[in-house]
Amino acid sequence: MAAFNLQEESIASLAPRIAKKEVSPVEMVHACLERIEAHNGRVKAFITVCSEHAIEAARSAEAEISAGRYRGPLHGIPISFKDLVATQGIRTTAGSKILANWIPEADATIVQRLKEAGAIMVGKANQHEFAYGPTGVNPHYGTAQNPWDTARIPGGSSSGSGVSVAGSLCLGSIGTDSGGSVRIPASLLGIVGLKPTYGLVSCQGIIPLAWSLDHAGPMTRTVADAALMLQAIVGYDPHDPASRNRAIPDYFQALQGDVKGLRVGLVKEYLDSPMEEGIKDATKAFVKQLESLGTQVEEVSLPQLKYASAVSFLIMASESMTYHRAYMKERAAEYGQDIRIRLGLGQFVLATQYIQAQRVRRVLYRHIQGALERFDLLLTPALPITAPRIEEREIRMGGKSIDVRPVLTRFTRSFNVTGHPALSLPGGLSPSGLPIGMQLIGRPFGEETLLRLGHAYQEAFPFPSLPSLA
Amino acid sequence: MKPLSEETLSRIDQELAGVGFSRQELQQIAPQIGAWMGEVAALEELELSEVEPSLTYFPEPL
Repeated sequence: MAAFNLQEESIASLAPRIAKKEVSPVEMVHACLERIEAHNGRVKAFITVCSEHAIEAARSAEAEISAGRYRGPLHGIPISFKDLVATQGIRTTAGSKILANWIPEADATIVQRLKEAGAIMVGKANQHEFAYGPTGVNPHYGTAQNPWDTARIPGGSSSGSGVSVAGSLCLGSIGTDSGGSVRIPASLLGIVGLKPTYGLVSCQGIIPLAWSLDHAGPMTRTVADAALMLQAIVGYDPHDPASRNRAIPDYFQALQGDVKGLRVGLVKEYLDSPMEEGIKDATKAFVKQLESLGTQVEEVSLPQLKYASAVSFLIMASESMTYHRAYMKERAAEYGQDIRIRLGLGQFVLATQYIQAQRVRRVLYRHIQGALERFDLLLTPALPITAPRIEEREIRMGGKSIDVRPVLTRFTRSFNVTGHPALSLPGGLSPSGLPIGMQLIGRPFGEETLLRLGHAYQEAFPFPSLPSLA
Repeated sequence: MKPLSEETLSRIDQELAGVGFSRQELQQIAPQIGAWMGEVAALEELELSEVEPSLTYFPEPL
């Protein structure tokens, strides 16, 4: 079998070679497990490593492919799942002490679909406890470390998912995103994160944070890989009340379409808000690069976005506390201190405030839709900062000291409120050499256009190699 | 909108919610709620007479 270098490969580059039997899934899984063995003690990407399961699944995949039963581009590909995605027979902790010993009896729908596509789970990824935080700091399993600078956070809540991809411990991961939890680590780690349209990907079998804000999506090295993973996980699920029954396009095929003439709206209110040095310049450079591909970029003003944070707060606080109410009454001491306090906020939100937030949500949706009648896509920086240090709780911005958590979600959480699809992709490096992410927002169920522009950008302007963990 | 005092939060917690936060925890919760008060109040001032909640119930077929 041919050699491969995990740090240089993508799903799209490996899949044809696996199909031709030039690359062995068994060798690939062993290579991932060796890297996990060598580095996971330090970077803490995984809470549970599924070595035996992965080797057995790889042997089975290799036998099927040898027998001419190749299932498609994810067959034999090693991936990880955020540890709040239920996996049959494998511990699923949600990054918590409360569920430290929970072994689900069934797979989440998304796991079933990826297994059917032939993907191989190498482990369950670390995360912010119960997904309720954007830093990835975890008091129970340790905090995953950013491979670009291990003194810095990878971002969360899908911290381990991001590190497993950025650290070349596997080739893709499933994260969840209720306020930015796929896109935040993607941005801080220099990888790709897709939050699909609300209802496109089933959340059945995923421990909820806030039902009406929760989304599951792929985290990968490239946009093309995100398209391949998305293809495997979309589709109607009668067991998820939010799931939408729609025709599914060929996302990978759609990458080849032309991007010339696409109209992109650069969101003025976000660009004008305080940001770390270098991010505004990176955004302007990104705009010029998009224009060089033939897109037309113009500023668009969306003043009502100023309401999105409060809407998100009210909905998340209410829904999360509703889910956790029984645990909070009986086992409150088992939560980490920050989560217990954050959940506690939900006890003090009035029902009228929650309903009002749901009504403003509809206003915000129409506001964004109005802009998307004039533009094919919207553009913002994914985050106003690069990765903070692990111990940093506050950062200086706009002449003030502010809590790092709302800063991390400032540009992402609006699109959980409205449900629009949003893609974070690497858009350059800061003056200090840390990744900067850009965020593209599409029309509802318009993932094809989102992925097409992201892919065209990556083809034209390749991102520097991911950092070595050695 | 007037910020909720720790005493009020404590009574809501004990008499309605039932989690039983400690005084120290309520001291951390109170300023966080206070920090959101302005933005939450802004939502309540919006004219939304034409807007239904996005949360609607619909029966599902068996």
